[in-house]
Formats: sequence, structure tokens, C-alpha cells
Amino acid sequence: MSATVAEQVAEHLSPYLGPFNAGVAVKTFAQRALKRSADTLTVEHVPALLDALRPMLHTMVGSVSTEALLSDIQRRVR
Amino acid sequence: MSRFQGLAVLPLVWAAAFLALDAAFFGTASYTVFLRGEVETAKVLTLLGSWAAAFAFERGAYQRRAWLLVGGCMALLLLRDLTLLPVFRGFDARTVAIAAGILVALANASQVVGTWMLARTWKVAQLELPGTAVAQWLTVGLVGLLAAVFAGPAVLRNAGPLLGGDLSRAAGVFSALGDMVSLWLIAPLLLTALALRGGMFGWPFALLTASYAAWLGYDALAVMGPGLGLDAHAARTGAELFRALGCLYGFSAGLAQREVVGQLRRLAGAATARPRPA
Repeated sequence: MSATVAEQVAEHLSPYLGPFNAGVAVKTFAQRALKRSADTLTVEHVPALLDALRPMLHTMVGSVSTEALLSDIQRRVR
Repeated sequence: MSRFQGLAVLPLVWAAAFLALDAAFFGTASYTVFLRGEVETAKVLTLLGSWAAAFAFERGAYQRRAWLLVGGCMALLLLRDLTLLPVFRGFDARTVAIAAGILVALANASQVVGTWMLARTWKVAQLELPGTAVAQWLTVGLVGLLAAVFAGPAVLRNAGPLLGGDLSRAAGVFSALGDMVSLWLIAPLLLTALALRGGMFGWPFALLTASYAAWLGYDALAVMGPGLGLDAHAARTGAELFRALGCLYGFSAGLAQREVVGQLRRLAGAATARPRPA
């Protein structure tokens, strides 16, 4: 079975945030920004989810690096 | 070995080299010069590492300000160390002591604010810390207790004479107060490193935690050294060993932070360079 959208986003975040916070971040921000559980996310929800993750990543690595990471995730998730 | 692992090992290599050179120089006429040179080099490296991290971020970034302030502490301490140069012996000793005290106070304020900002990165970024709230508070309480036990005596030792009008003790009070607060911030730094474990964002926090743990060891040795029966050389070598580890782990943390930001920027470069489908 192929990975869900949430799993794919978490997998791409994991090398940076670590597996614990990557999974938690996707769940938390899916609920907070999209009002839905992570396992119901579809590809259409990805831009909004990445928007919600943006402030957190800005704090961690600044805006230029954040945009690089988010663009990469956007490109890879299917 | 990854670059991050290399940065974790570097302070240990420095410490081993320091011990070997300390043994070689001890008892020679060059020993004092060796010690002073090692201390100042370690401080310069901390400054370079912190500002390397700061300038990896764009203007206005949260962590840029934090790392600038952490590096600012070392910049101000290095300025204070200039007052130890022979050229200042011609000046009024009290004036030099007051100037040094002001520099140390500013350095510690810079350190405390910078470390405070790094320690609350998790909160600003809305990260989840690991463990239950009780476990988190226990960690904060335990580290706070250790910071008070090991850095507190120096505050008390210097505060009495300062309140009695001896302004030359101001540097000691500010230094010890700065240590106490910064060491207490080990708890959130450690929890952040644990939350981000397995991810590259965690490396700067893990290395910074190691740096402050070494500074805790430095203060602990000052408190417990007499009870351990260490002779003057052993006590001094132990203190300088912890100082070296504190400085070098600070240097490594800064370089790790720069590496994290740099890797993501290279990701952007690779994406731009990637050929577009026809």
C-alpha cells in the first residue's frame, strides 16, 4: 500500500525535524490549519498544510531555507 | 562520519590535545603563555562559531538575533581580556576593574538573552517537547537546582563585597548570575534536542546542550574541587578542560546550525539547477 499524503510529508520532514516531531507537526498543523485529521489529507491539501508549517520552519532555519524545503516537499508529494 | 558527528567529536579531540600539551608545558616557563593562548583561542572559536551561525540566517530571522547575542558574549569577554594586557597596568587599577566589570555584565546579559531565545525556540516554533509535562518540569527543576548549587556560591561570594562598595567584585557577581541563568536554560535546550533527535535540526541544540553541560562542570569543579582534594594544578587543569569543552561545543553548535541552514540552501540550488521537463 502506498504512503498517505500525511506520511509522505512527515517522511520528507523527518531528516530535518526528526521522526517524532515530523509526525507530530503534520498531525498538529493538519488539525489546526485544515481542521482535519492527518490521515484524511489529499494532495489538494498539501499547499495549505505547507503554509501552516511555514512559521515553524522560519523560526528553525529562516525564510530562505524554509522556502527551499517547502518547495522540495511540494514537488515530491504525490 | 557525518559533518555533525565530526562536530560532536571535535571538542573531545581539542580536550585530549589540551591535556597532552598541558602535561608537556607544565613546569616550563611557557606554561602561563600556553594556558592563556588556549583560553583565548577557544573563546575566539566560540565567537566565530556563533556568528557563523548568525550570519547563515537572513536579516530579521529569529535565530540570527539569538546567535548574534550568544557570540556577543564572547566578543565582550575578549574585549575584557584585553584589559589583562601589560599596557593597562599603567592605568588606575580601580578604573580598569570597573571597565572590566561593565564588559562582563554586558557579556553576561548578551549570553542570557541569546540563550533564552534559543531555549524558547521550541515554543516560538510550536514544537512538541518529548515526555509528560511532569517529566519536563522535573527536568527544569533538577537542572535549576544544579545551576543554583554550582553557580550560586560564586554569586554570594562576590555579592557581599560588592554591596560593601567593592566595585571590582561586580564582574564576579554578573558572571556568576549569568552562569546561573544560562545553566538553568540547559533544560529547555536539552528537551528541544530530544524532541528533534534523529533530525538535523536537533544537532545545534544537542551540541549547545553539551556546551552548557561543560560550563556546569566548570562551575561544579569550582564548588567541589576543594572537597575532592585536588592540588592547584589539577584544579586549574580541570577547570580549563571544562572551559575548553564549553567553548568548543559552542563553536561546534554554531557550525552545526550553519550547516543545517546551508544544506537547505543547497537544496534550493539543486532544485534551480535541475533541468525542467521539455
